[in-house]
Amino acid sequence: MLFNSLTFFVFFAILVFILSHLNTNPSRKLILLFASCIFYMWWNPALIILIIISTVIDFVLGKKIQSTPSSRKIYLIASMVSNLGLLGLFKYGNFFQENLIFIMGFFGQQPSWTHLNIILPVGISFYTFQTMSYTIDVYRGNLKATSSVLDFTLFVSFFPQLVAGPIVRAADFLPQLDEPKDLSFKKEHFLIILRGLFKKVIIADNLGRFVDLVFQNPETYSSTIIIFAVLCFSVQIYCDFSGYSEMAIGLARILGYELRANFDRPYFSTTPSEFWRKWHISLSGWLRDYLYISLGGSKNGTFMTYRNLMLTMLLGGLWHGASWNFVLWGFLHGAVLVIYRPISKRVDFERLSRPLTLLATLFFQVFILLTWIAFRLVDFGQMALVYQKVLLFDFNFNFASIGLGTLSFFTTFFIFMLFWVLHILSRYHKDLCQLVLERGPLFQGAALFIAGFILYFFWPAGETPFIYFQF
Amino acid sequence: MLLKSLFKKEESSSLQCTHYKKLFFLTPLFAGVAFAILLTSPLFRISGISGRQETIVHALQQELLYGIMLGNSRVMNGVDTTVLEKTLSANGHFYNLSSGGQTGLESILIMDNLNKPVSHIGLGLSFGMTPEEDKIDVPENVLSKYHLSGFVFSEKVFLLAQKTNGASFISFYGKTSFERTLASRWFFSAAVNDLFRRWLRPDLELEKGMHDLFHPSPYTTKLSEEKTAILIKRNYSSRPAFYFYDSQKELLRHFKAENEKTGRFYFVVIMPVNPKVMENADRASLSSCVEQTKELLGEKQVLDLSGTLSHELFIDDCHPTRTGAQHISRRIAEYLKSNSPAGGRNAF
Repeated sequence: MLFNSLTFFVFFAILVFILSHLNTNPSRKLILLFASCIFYMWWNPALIILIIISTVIDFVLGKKIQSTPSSRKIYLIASMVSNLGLLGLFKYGNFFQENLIFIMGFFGQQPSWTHLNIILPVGISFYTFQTMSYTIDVYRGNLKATSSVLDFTLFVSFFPQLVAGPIVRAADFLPQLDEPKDLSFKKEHFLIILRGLFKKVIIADNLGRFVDLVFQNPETYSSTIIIFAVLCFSVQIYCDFSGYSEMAIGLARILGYELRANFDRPYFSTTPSEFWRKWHISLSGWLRDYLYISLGGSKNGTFMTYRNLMLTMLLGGLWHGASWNFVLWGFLHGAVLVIYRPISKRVDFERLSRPLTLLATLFFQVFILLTWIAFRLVDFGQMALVYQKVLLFDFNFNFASIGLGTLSFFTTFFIFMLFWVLHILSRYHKDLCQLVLERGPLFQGAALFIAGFILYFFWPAGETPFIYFQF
Repeated sequence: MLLKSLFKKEESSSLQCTHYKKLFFLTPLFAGVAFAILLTSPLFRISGISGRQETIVHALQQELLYGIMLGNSRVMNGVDTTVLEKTLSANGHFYNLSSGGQTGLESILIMDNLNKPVSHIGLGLSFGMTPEEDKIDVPENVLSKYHLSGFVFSEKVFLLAQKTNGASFISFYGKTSFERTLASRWFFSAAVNDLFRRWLRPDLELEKGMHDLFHPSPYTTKLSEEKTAILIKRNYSSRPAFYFYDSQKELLRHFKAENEKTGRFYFVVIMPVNPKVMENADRASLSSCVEQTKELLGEKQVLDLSGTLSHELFIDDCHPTRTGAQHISRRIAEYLKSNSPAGGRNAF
């Protein structure tokens, strides 16, 4: 069930209707849990078992960690092993198998076992990270283990963020479940959802048609078109994922719950550390708090700091998908973090003059663009070709090879420009939702009317899943 | 304990559920959608996107039609029917009613909508180049533009679509008029696309492609050898083979049966293939497809021009140049002179 589908609209309307007729907090939470299960089972009913297993294990182990201080480390290890085991089997099983076969083939061995084709459960990377953060927090003493099964299960399976984040921390969410929550129909929440929907279906999905067309056969396109496709992909992935996160935040707010922001205009960042404070905030925060710091952070000297940064980003890359291109993507980000670290100690990027800030931003964003090539192309041959076309520019500015029958290109250009105009406006003038909210009813009505008009005409046929569902 | 708490009234509950009136704020959003839906059909009719379909609809209302040619962009670029009219001294018009990406099913749809007698009807045929596409899966936007242009989906076309696996067509056919209108909203982004294309592709004669009834050739500027080579590499496999799909056979059977019933002279032109494509192609597969077409329709009804144009007479990988079109048209005229029962004169 996608947020941008009619099915979800009906599902959510029914849920809100039911919730508005319930007067107790437990009954509302129970209905929310039931709705979350339906939402997840819409894809594959059987895979709810994995969420149940993960939930039961971490609920029990969380209590054990708290009640038996002497053995808490063992229980924490048990939690890590079970969560990472599930993740390893279901997300990385095929990857491990393929690489093993490749290595065996290299030594002239042919495996005799049957190739396992393991299904990747939607959202497994998100909910396992949530449950892991819970047991780690309890272990560290930052959080008390909850005694409510209902609360913990709802924390793990809360449907707005279940399949594609933001990755919620137990410390943020569990206290919210203690108090009765009012349904909230504030204009602001609907505008956030609308902005997310607009980003996803109007910008990301329309740009995606062109990006897919070019990256299917990159060898046949000129440097200009490839570079434009990379630029489009950078916007597509940002709008696809931040659009989902915004819809999740807006939906949660209507239900009375608060989820943290997951994006903060990362394409205006001047340094990699700033980028990671603004891109997929919930994941980078998780990696910082539970991986980088656990590895020692920056406490054990320069070399160890660089090693920890690199390891964190490599694993962060692998988190995005069981494929070597994601490892390369993580490596590139790790490398640039390492390179920028000593520079950031000498140069205060936050206090640069405006022209220098612009220059630093452009310089860094060119690097980000280059990393998106590694993210988008699984095939290393194609990836090398695209890098070659981007870096060795062919000065071919002719668009004729895109052809008469290709409907997506020119609309793509229009939508790409529309995104940047709105994005720059929201960065340097005012957030678009705020801009609408501060104006009178006439302006608000007109803005919504135009939004409805554009949504109807530019909503592509068919449903396109969110990119981050595959992670 | 849990069950008990479920039904217990919250003592200090602040739970509210009476804010529905705030949802009125969203009314303009839905009004915008409703307004856009109402505008779909009229905007479609005045936009340039529907131009070619509207042109075809109006052409079919003409008083006297000598003949029509149907097919895709290869026929648009490759058949100049003014040459046919002149060579055959026809006293009615011979129109080229092909359109970009026209499928066999669309050609049949146009044929089914002929409400004036036509003595000659030709179909430009190109064989498939990939084995797996043995079906006609017509995209909804293709059919929605015909729907809004005033074509009627006949039961015959529907049955034909069923036989030829036109899954999209069937699902589209079952939809209400309102749903078809919704499915037609694609035209708006196509219009934006068209606007940019006119600006960025001055080499394309789009107006000609929209409104010309005789030689609606939008491709006018010859691509360089290098670009043509890139297109061939992109559009064809390293050893291209030709496939005569079952769906194409079914459509041709229908084409034959319907025209025999009405007494029109029908013919199929196998469109020229660029020799650069043929360099590495499986020639035997092309010969086999041509033979099968002749077996299906009869030797006399098929004009095989597959190997008649040199590479210089192609704009790109598959579309003939103006000179190429004149060459093809002269061959068609000669063919009609010697094979049409009217001997090239008007049959009326």
